Amino acid sequence: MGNVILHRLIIAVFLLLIVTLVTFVLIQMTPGNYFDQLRANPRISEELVESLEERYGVDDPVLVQYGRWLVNLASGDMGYSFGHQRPITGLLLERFGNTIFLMLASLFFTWAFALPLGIYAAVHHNRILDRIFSFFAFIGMSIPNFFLCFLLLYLASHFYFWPIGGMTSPHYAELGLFARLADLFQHMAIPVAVIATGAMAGLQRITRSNMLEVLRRQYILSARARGLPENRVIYRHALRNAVNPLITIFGYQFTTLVSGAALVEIIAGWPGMGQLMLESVQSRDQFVVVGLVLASGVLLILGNLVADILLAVVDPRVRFGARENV
Amino acid sequence: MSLLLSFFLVGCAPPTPPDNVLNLGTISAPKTFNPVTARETSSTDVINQMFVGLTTTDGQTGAVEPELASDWESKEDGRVWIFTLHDDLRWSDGEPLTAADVVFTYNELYLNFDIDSSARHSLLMDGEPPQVEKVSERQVKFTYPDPYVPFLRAASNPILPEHLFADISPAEFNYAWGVDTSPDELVVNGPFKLGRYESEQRVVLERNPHYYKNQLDDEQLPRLDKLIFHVVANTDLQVQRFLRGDLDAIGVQAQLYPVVRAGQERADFEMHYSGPDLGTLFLAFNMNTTPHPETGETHIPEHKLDWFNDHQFRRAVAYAIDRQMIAEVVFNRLASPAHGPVSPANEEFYYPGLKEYEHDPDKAREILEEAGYSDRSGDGIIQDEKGNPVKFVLLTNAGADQRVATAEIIRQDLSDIGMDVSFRQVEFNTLVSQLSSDFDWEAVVMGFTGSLEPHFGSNVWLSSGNLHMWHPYQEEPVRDWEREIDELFAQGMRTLEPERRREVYSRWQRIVNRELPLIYTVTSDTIHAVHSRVKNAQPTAIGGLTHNVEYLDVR
Repeated sequence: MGNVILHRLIIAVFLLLIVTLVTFVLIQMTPGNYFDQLRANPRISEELVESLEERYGVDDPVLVQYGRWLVNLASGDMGYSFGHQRPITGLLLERFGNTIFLMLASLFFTWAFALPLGIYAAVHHNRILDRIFSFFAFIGMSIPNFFLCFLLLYLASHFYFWPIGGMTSPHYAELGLFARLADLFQHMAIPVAVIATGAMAGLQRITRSNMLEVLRRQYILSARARGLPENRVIYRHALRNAVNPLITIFGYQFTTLVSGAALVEIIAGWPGMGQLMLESVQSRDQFVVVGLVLASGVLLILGNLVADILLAVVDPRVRFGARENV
Repeated sequence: MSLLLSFFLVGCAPPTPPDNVLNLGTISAPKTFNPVTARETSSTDVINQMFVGLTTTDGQTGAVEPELASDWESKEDGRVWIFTLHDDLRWSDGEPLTAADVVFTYNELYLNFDIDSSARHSLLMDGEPPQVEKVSERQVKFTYPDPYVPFLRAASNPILPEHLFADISPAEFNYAWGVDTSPDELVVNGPFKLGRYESEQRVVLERNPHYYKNQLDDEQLPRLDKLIFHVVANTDLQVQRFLRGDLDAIGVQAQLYPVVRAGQERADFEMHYSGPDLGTLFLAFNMNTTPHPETGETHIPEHKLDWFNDHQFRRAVAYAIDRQMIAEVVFNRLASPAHGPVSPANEEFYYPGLKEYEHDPDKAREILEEAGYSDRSGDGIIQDEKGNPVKFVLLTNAGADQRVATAEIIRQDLSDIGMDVSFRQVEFNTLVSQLSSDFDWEAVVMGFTGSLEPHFGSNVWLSSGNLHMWHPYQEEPVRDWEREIDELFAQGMRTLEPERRREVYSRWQRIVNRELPLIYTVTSDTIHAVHSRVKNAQPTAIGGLTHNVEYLDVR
């Protein structure tokens, strides 16, 4: 298995090289660079803009710029953000942390609710609660995230009952540890609820249908016929087989949540990667864009790798390296 | 269990903020705390609360007022400027602030070409820096090769502490005092010092005990204990957070005015109307007849350049635009028609006698007809004398709601007089690069944030300027009136006597008003909403809410 992981990681490096190169080329193809916007300020001189352009080499050929970026990257320097006037590594870590935090909380809620609800719906197939769950799942799937976010923010601001926007309250720094956590959770509640609702609905439906399919299998019938207790049939025999596809979904969800969270982050004013991405693409803050693409790429690859490893652990039929042995 | 309960109670109880804190919103976080390298308002808004310069601007009248300098005199018609500092000035770390700091700040920072200073441009006179010398511990002398009157306003640039930066290299200084600077290292001279910066969330400023006005006055200044800028990344959310009391004051944009107004039913605040702001919003045509250096061709088809260079064509457009409609639809009536480059907010230089182009489509059609533009083919689109249909693309930057809505109205107005205008939104950077390096645009709706000193707009008005949008970087002025404006600007910066100076810039405004290289639309009003607990709030168009920040009080 170690070999396979190594193999996958090597492919991943090439993949990331290609993705970042494409990003670089695309940024260069769009007209204008970051410093152009300074030109629209009557009080900034042409001479200053030109000296900045020269210092950061934004007018050099794209391959030269890319090569320079790679060399710097090898020494741990991801470049400099023109807009934020600071090195990118610190900026990304900060935003990355905020996004991951939001995502993990959302993932937790998604799975904690969707899995039991899906199982319950499958076991009590076509009964009233199953119908109700399905009804709500369809609503959850069809409400666009951004709309739900606006709706919740509106309600919160209209009834003055909940903080809106941002990550912490003004007096956050003066609070004790527990009060800080409570404050943070309050601010997270709306974005987490929004992200989790969308993902939860889909996951609940998939769990339900997988479970239903497995429950119809012969071995479930035989397990029941052997007189095994129903709990054991469902949780030992059915569930274990039904979750396999879900683990693959977990890998993807990890990354779709990043992009899904972007919109919610922007609306709810959560200082994460989504906000940063929008702002830096708009202003052509090129090294930030490439840095973010790199970070999301790493996240995608790791997410899938983790999912594959989990699958191998859970399902004895899946074995790494089987092809090499043939 | 009770522990858990109490922890939630603490978390959910309404916060009781400490006394005398002013909470303001900012649309984006500061990028640096370095006053020299800061380039945009999200940084300078915060920096200006921590650093002051020799002079400042009176928030009410716009006049130049003493700040660190208690007094100044000009000699030789404005060629030599001597500033005298207040007695016993101190940095926030207790070190004395002397003439040496001023000399260092100008010579080694602002005027150093290896340092990314956006203020340098306004300090140079025709590209020449002043000579800056220390006369005594409290006196500094600036000597220009020729009289340079705008310097008085440029002298408001923040002064920095020599004792921190004496040995720093320019390359290091460009990255110094970033947002991760520890508060102790940020030695300031203004009303507030840095308390802490919570990344992307808020900047907490605290009273600077060594602020010079503390010693001048009997009372402790600033009166506020803290001034906090909260990052609230969109304007709708800012309004909501103001209405619920998280923010003490906001600037109200015209399109959000109804929402704020409606909020008065449930929150206790006042609306302050301060009249027109300093900004401009205009329509410009590409008149750039300079051929491309390599291909030898003009950047847009020559017949289009002929229209745009035709004075009668631009006059007709000026009459066709319904400014009242723009003020009503786009700005909720919180704007007034504009006809020249200086806003009425600029009391010193605004020339009130400009020609007003009232909305008159019939007159516009008449002018076009006389100039040889008429609809010969009968398809509803006018053609020039050579038979080319008058058809062009109007651009503005995406995301700027007011510009987009204004451009849409202009498009409609121009199609009413028979022009076939298509409207396109492009991203800001793309737009700027089209305007300043590709020159392949046809018409654009743009705006500038104004400045009180007309000379600081010389990038726009000199024919050689990079922002002389309709025809930038001219080696020799192509049009007579451009030559005249060049001369007026050269004269204006050398004229010390205020009355004569005003006359020079009045002539410039009259020329622009007549020749219409930029066709002005409306000037929007400045409105602030301020909670009643904020005392002494007197927001103005020029100085905003914080021009008298040291006297603000929150109770």
